[in-house]
Amino acid sequence: MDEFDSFVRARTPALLRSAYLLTGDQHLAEDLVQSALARTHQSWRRLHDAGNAEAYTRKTMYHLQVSWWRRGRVAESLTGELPEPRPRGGGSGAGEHATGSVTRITLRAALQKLTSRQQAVLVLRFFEDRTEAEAAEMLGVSVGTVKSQTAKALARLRAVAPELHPLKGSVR
Amino acid sequence: MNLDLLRADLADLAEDVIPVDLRDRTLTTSHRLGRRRTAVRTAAALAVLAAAGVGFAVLPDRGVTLLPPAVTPSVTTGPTLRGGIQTDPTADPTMDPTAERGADGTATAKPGRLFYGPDPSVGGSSAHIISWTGSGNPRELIQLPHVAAIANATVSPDGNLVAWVDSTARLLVANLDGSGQRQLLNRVDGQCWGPVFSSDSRHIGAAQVRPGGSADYRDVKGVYDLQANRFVEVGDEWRVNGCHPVWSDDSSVVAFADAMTGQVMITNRFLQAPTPVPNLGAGAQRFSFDVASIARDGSKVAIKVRERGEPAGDVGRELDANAVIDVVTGAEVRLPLDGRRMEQAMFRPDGALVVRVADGDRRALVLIGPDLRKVTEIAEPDSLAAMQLLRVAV
Repeated sequence: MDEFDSFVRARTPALLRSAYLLTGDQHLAEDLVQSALARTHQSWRRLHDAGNAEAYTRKTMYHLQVSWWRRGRVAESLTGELPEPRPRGGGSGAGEHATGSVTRITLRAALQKLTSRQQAVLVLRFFEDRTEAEAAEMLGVSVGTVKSQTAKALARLRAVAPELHPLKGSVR
Repeated sequence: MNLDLLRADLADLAEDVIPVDLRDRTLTTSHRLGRRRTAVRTAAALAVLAAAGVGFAVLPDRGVTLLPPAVTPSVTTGPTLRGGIQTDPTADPTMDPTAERGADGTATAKPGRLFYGPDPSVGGSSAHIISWTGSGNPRELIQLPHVAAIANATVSPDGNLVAWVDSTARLLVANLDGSGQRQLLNRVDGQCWGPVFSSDSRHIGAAQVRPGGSADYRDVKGVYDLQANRFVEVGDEWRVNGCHPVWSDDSSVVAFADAMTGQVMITNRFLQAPTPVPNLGAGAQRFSFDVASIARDGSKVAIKVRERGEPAGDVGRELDANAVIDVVTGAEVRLPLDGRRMEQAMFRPDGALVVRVADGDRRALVLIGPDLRKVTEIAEPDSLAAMQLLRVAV
């Protein structure tokens, strides 16, 4: 099982990044990744031998996220506010840093106003750069569903966060 | 639209997450799942299905429902013993509705006819529903798809039928001996809303998912009438949001988890004006996403209560319960369990309550009367220890 430990430690950072976009919360992201990894652990030998442990983990994570929409809602209702983003190193000045922070806060809040599936298609398509077919396979839906959800997600983002600069202009 | 900027912003936002080592937590979770449940696997198979409301606009009446035998029963017979469980459903005394009744027809001081689903932590392609009367060997009944047996299979209050949603989202029903299996609906939610039997065992509340609407699907809630063979939809004005409904045995009250804020909602059979149980969810210290059972008159619910900050648990049905709550006051009902931990609690149609408690390494069933006094207690066979109690009939 040392191989599993290595897998967890090597892949957790990348999984956490996707999970954070899906949940908008550090603790929920950790819970999501941990839950997906636990399921991978239960079938580790088979998944490892087949060489698809990460694919399975990611797929599980997305399905859990779609199914566990309630958890995010709970966190939202309990905390009532978004935490401050952590400070970044680098950057080219206080003004740019502040603008970037505002964008991140705005984007994170906007993502939480999408449905779980809309969040998933956005993250798959525009963060993980998956094709529509790959996203469809990952979510267990048709390519048509991915197309429609993507369009709806972008439209929703424009509606709830018109100040986000990437969302200005036409949908296509 | 500049999607490249969106990509860049997403990548930037993703860097806000703080890397942590999840190895130990992962293994802990895995072991917990191994011990307790893996029902969440079903979420992957049925991700198309989601939560919403339902209507129980059918007034049930009492009666016994049995389906005509199927041409090809799904259970093969042959009286053998496997792991302490007898495998001949045709000889099952729990199929006799009078088995647990006295001469006057009232319930005797036995826990009732107990129906179990499989150990959620063990994988497999299929699993039997198991019955036990409180004495003798447990017996295997119908064989169901494993996922359905964990996530949504429900036994009728009269102890004759089982309904479930399979991996292709079909709602099916059969006699518990495996005969009479038939499909009722397709595209049915097997993760959130039911199926749930009415008290007369003649109707099944369910949610059917249909394409269209503002999203890729919309779920139509209603009740399937087993005798009329029709699905009665409920108007949108009665829609409520939630999961895992339970229906009281006097037909008057429906309780369900709101599945969003951790509230448990109480409403009438038409699902009008649902109101929350006080002091649960919506920011309260305690919340619940899992309603396991409701008292005959709807006055109490057996639920899994979680403390704020505790993981909300699996999206799938969880029949664990650690508290019986008064739905009017929100207060926890004190039960004569002698300090033992409640693991499950199921109300019986006659108003009594069966509480499954941990008793050292074993489990015991405590029968509590409607007056909340202990009636009797029996030890549960080891062969049932890891299984999930689905229903107590009398």
